[in-house]
Amino acid sequence: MSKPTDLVQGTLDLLILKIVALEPMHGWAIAQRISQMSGDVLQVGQGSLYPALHKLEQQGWIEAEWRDSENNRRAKYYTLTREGRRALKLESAQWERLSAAISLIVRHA
Amino acid sequence: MRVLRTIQLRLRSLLRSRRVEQELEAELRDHLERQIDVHRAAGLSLADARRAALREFGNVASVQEQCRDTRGVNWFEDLNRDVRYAFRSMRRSPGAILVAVLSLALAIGANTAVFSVVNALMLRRLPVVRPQELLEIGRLTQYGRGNFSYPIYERFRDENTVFSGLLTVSSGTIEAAIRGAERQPVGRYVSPDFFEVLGISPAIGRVFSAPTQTVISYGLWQREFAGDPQVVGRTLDIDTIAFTIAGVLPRTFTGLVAGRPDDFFISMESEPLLRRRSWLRNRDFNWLTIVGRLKPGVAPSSAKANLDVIFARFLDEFASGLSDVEAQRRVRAHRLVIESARTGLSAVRREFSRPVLLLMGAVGLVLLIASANVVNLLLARGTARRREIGLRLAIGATRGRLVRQLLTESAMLGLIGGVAGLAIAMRGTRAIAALVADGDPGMTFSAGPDVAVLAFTAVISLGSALLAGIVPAIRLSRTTVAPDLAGDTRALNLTRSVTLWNRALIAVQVALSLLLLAGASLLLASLHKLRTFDAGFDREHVLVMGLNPAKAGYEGDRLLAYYREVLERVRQMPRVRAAGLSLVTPVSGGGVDLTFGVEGRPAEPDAMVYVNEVSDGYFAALGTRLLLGREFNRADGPNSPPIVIVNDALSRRYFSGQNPMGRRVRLGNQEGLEIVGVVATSKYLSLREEDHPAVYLPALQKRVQAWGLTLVVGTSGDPAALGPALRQEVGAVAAAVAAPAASTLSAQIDRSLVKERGMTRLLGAFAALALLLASAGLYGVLGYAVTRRTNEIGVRLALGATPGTVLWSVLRESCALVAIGVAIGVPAALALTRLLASQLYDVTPTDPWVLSGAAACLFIVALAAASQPAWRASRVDPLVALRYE
Repeated sequence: MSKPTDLVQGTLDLLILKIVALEPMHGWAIAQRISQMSGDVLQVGQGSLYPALHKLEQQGWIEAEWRDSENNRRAKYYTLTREGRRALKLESAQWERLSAAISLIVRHA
Repeated sequence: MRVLRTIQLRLRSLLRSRRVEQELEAELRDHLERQIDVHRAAGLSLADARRAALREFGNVASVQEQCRDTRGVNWFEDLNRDVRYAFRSMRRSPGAILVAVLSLALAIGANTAVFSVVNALMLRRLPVVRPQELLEIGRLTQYGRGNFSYPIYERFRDENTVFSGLLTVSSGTIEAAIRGAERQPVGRYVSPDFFEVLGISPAIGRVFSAPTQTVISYGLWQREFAGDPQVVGRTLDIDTIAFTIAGVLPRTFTGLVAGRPDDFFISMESEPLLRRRSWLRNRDFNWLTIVGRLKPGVAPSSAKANLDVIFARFLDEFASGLSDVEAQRRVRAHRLVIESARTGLSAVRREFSRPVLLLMGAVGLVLLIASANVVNLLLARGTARRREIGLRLAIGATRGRLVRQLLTESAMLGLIGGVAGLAIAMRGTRAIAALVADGDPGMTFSAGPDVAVLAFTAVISLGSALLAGIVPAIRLSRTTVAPDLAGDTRALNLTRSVTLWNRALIAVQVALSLLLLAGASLLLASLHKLRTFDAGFDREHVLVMGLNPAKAGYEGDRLLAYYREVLERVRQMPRVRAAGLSLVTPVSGGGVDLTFGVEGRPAEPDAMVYVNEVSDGYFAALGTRLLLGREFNRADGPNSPPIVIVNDALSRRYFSGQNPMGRRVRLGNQEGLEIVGVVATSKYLSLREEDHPAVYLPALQKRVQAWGLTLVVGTSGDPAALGPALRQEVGAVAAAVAAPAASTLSAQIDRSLVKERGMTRLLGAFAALALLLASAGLYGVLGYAVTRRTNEIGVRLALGATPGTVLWSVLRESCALVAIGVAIGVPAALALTRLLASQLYDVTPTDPWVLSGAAACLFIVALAAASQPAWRASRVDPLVALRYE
């Protein structure tokens, strides 16, 4: 596994939850959205998205469903579960605290 | 919820793995296709677009693998692979694996078998409705546990406020007669509401509703009625009455006493039909066990409080009817004891639970010894497999993964051992139950493997195997990669520490074997003492034969004449020293006791003496010494004054050294019995009893009793050889009177030693098993050490060591191991054999001879096990050994 993905492993989950919270989405669209939202700062290997998705599904935070999508394709859509919503709230709060703490240290060090 | 969902998803991954796999592939393909579309739209060619998409995506196979990992599919696949791998690697050293599996199988078999008996005796709940509500009510007297009379039962039943139902069952059994049956059915009197309180309804028919009806067990129905569906309405003869079978009980219910199944039940209302004088109104005869079903929400303690009040009132009334103050005090001191009857009545359990638990502990030690063999095997194989492990580490296996794989291997050993052990236990349980109940055909532990037994076996097999596997697995996973791959297996100090482990385990095995051996030897010594000590009679040269001419219609003078003739004819036989008749033969399991008093002295309360009725020649036949006065003789006829012979214990107790000859005594309701002789004290009810006063009445003096007498014949030489001739001679006296096969007195006494003999045999067998396993372990470890050290031995031989010194060095090593084991084992044995104390007769648990004998035995066995490896070491050819590297 490459270093950058290792770094964002924890945050990747958070990003996925955040994105899926808006509307049900399939894997490729989630990957697109992540790169859109983060610009070029976060280099998420597209492939490493999938293990994360499957893990979140196992944890019961998101649900998957095969649906028809545009031009006759079928795609696996992920939706946030109630439990996922709770987790998202918790994780984002934690993230806020952590990033605040880190920026505090960085600024004063 | 989440757990459920995870399980559901995992199961889906596992069971519908093809489908999940397809979906994964489709999902990733979908992603790639979309990405390719994006690149195509930007103007790339199809091939370039594909390349770009794949580059952005990364390693597809690796992503798939990661997804599978998160889904937990791999967990199962790994297990599957580990199991197959384990089989492959086991096939490479089948001999060693066989030894380990066999060790485990034997030990697990023994454990399962003993546990089945423990389960049947102590754990299995009665197959009745809500067994946890049942309480057994007992009475504690100055003699120990006691039963109740029917009037007390009625008082409890009618006056209590805590039980929803109160049943009673006779503690003794009654016999029915079925012609040609292998063993006669035994049954009990039960209160009419017995089945209702227990919540049992018959499988066929219904329960009894009239005094001449009976309900039989499923077992009896199968055994004697061949499962006849029309059995209801057929009859069962009990004494002289033909009872009609009203129903058959369900298969699971065999009565309330674990280990002693009942074949039939009759109502208390039948009792007056069978006993000429009914005991139902009698307050003196305590012959009943009482079981109550608690009302919902009532605590056992408050139930006891309730019964205590009723019992105290009853005892008060009962005591005030007694003339003697001391007797009154003793009666009032009786207490109730209440215990759960969840697993059945306690009588057999009380007697056998301690021996059986001791045996459980013993087989536990055997299992430890077997596990040590497995550890040794795994350690030895581990050393041989270091290169393989090193290779696997080098190509990226994690240590955790390796430990898991190695533990899978030991779990498989356990599993195979467990299955084989279960098969052994199936046979073993019956053998153990038979040994425990030897000579007591009424006692059977229906100890089939139920859920508890299967669970026990599964837990101990996997538990012992995993426990045995953990140290070798962790050690092996610490293997370093480099030197092993370099092939340098000698330089590692791993070998040394492994053999250190091996040695420590051998010492532990020796110590455990010593424990078992010491225990078995103590029991054996105790049994030997019981069998040979002077019980006041000669056990080796006596034949006994029960006679009952009254059954053939003999009465009065005819009966007397019959007995006389038997004695005359038997005394004429060659090799017969003496012959007599008696009501009770020693240690036959039954007896009579009556109140006793000396004329001219106030009655002593609780002065009970053993009573026997004997004819002339009885003491001579038994070899009981006459100390004073005379034996009975033919002149003591119906018209001569009533006389008795007493034993030495009675003479000491009541006449404290004065000559008792000519004194008159009271016995039960007989008065004016004159003492004409004193004989040596002999054991009456049991070999373990203290000397107890006894009175002998002349059996043929007055009206001869209607019940039978036992012919007692003293022989010169082997009594068994005389048996058939005796039977023929007695049979010739009167064709109508059955002359059963004679048995030796020693065989009859052995029947009273059922528990002792069973314990001794079983513990002996387990000690032998322990010895076998430990010597197999020692043999394996030494053999392995010799192989590992072939090189070194070769060098030593080349440098001038003689084969003798090499031989001796191996033997010395095994002796040292045994010595360490004995050093650990002796203090442990001293501490633990104390548990056996209550089972021993006239042997102290710390008997130095027993311990040193056991230690000597271990040294001999160890030397035998070491001899082959030692010999092999001494025959190493230095040239071959040096070339070997």
